[in-house]
Amino acid sequence: MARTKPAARQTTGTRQRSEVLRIAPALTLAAAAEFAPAMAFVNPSVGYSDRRKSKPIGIAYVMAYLRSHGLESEGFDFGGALTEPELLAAEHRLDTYDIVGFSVYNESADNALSMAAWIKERNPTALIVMGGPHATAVADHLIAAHPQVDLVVRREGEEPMLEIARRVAARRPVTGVLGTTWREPNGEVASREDPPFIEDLDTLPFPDARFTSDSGYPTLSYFDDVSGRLKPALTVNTSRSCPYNCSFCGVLTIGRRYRTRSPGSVVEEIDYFRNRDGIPYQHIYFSDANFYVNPRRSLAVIEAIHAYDPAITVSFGTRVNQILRSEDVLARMKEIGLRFVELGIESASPAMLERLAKGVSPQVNVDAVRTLQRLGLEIVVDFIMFDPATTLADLRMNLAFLRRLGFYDYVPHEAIYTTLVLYQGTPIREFYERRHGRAFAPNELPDIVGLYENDDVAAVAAGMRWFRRTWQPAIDTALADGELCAEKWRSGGRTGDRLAQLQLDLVALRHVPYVFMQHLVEAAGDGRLALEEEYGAHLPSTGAPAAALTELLARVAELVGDEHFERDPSLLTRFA
Amino acid sequence: MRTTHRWLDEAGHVYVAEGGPQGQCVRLNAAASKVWRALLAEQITPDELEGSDGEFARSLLVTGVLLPGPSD
Ligand code: B12
Ligand code: SF4
Repeated sequence: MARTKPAARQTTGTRQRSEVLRIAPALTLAAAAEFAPAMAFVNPSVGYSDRRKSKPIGIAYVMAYLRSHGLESEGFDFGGALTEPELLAAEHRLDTYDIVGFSVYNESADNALSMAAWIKERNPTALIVMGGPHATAVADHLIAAHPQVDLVVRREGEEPMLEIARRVAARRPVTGVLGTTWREPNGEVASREDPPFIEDLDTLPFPDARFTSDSGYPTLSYFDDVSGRLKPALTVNTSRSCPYNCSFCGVLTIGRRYRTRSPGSVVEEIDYFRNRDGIPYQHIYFSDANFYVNPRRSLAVIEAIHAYDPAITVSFGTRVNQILRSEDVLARMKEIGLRFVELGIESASPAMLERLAKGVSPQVNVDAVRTLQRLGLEIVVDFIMFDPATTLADLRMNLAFLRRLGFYDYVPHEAIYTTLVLYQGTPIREFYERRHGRAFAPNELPDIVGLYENDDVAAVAAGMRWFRRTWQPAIDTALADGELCAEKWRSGGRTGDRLAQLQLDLVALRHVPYVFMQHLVEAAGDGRLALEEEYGAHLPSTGAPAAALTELLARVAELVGDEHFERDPSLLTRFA
Repeated sequence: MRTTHRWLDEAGHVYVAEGGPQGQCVRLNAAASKVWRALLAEQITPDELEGSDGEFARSLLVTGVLLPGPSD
């Protein structure tokens, strides 16, 4: 088991010695066999804190796999850290390991490289390995341009990393492993072909790995509206990859072959973590990129969980067209514990859907939402409001869609702010490179602000950024407090005018960001591109009686008054 | 028809405070919102409504969310 206090670590006897060689042919076999390299796996910061923070599952799988082959390692999760990467590396003594593996996302690439450089400077013999979606997409570049990186493991990391660790342990050359990219002595980049995908995911050990985290983990929970209970929750991955090929999706850099686990193995995993943690997990967030590819197999997984413990509820993410395939399956899933579905709607504009290669018409989005609403299943909306070529007509269609289907009540208000992120290795990044006639730098995540093709859309987007900065925090707080208060009053049997007023004010407050955007779009449509000093004039009056935003916020604050309540973390997550 | 409930007509939907079985605020879908507006504007009575619209209107009467008599 990995230890969590770096200062208390026992050394393997090899760490911190600069003569620890990766290629040390002079050792006797016995000495080589004794060498257990000190290994660390790091999830560097993506630069902002993810409100859904959970353990980095990719490296957890790799670490568990190594352990099942007798190789221990330590995990470090700095996912949302704001501290300088070098300071974190120093604090956790990352230069004292023989092997340091980084899980690299586009957002965390710069931080990973900074940490790696810091380590290499202090311990040139440390082997720096990078893996994960972004490292896979830019493997050649990482080796060619960043001397602090020794190896890149592309795609699935379990097998190649085991082979690398074994070679280090045996002091054999680490170059030439299947699925890796490295630097030849003459400086040239070399690589070997991808190994076959891991076909039988049931053969993998469960992702049991402990992480030292700069921030700790909020206890993962889920507030179940049906039972009115806050439940301890666990994230479980039951499949890998996805058979679709949406143009913006980074999943595909890891390979497009969809594979699934058996229901029995999923249940065993839940049981395993319940026992390990002594926590009776009662909600499962399936972290699969696309859980519902094969409705029957997905149902079988949920049936098995239900048979194991009928109190467990579940949720998953999928595509809209999958929803339309089998309403009967979804109805059964609802009966046995499905609570919400995260739906990749992305847009209501045919042109945007085409650019995103969703392969569905806006009507399919509408039908999927209506199906889930009819079944009484909650929907978590994945939406991309702005991409560089978005037109005002696209924005109008998006807002009309959200309004018509009742999503103006939806929180968090992410849908109206989300901009397309051009991940490395995705077709849409290449599409915009061609369209704009410029290549983005390999680790660059291009800022969409400079890429908007239409001034009116750029103006709306700027207004939305202003709103998010200026008003969203106050709205989030008022909603979090107000919802708790209304819930407390209601469940306590309190009725009457104050509760009614609070309920309607909360609805009105939820609407404000959407209606504000609607106003900006209307203004831009009339050729009145709002300037920063004019944004305030576009703030809507909402509610009954209708009130300006400041008034509405004050009204909610007054109604909530001195109510004291324990903040329910799941509500905060929902509104934060 | 009339109601003693506070309600909000916004963003294409009607929201009825304390309109749910446990006193929750409920959002009526677009079709139900239309029925609600028509009933309260006295353009129509529950008896004149057919199918699911009629069922919906009668359920509002049964739960007391809507009451017979003219709105003020
Ligand atoms: C569930 C999920 C989340 C969850 C939970 C993530 C978690 N706990 O790990 C939450 C919501 C928290 C999340 C957050 C984010 N995510 Co996310 N997430 C996913 C999703 C859908 C599934 C992850 C999963 O279960 N993977 C299963 C494991 C087994 O696969 P894996 O993570 O790829 O790991 C394997 C290999 O990549 C490799 N590997 C990974 N790291 C390393 C390191 C070494 C040294 C080696 C050798 C190998 C190796 O080996 C692993 C085992 O085979 C993926 C898409 C996908 N991959 O399917 C996106 C995805 C990985 N996320 C993505 C992004 C961008 C993010 C965020 C930055 C924000 C965002 N926009 O959502 C944050 C950052 C999180 C962080 N780094 O701290 C992108 C990455 C794109 C890119 N090129 O960078 C993806 C691909 C989706 C997308 N938007 O296209 N995410
Ligand atoms: S359906 Fe989802 S996971 Fe699959 S390719 Fe599209 S965005 Fe990616």
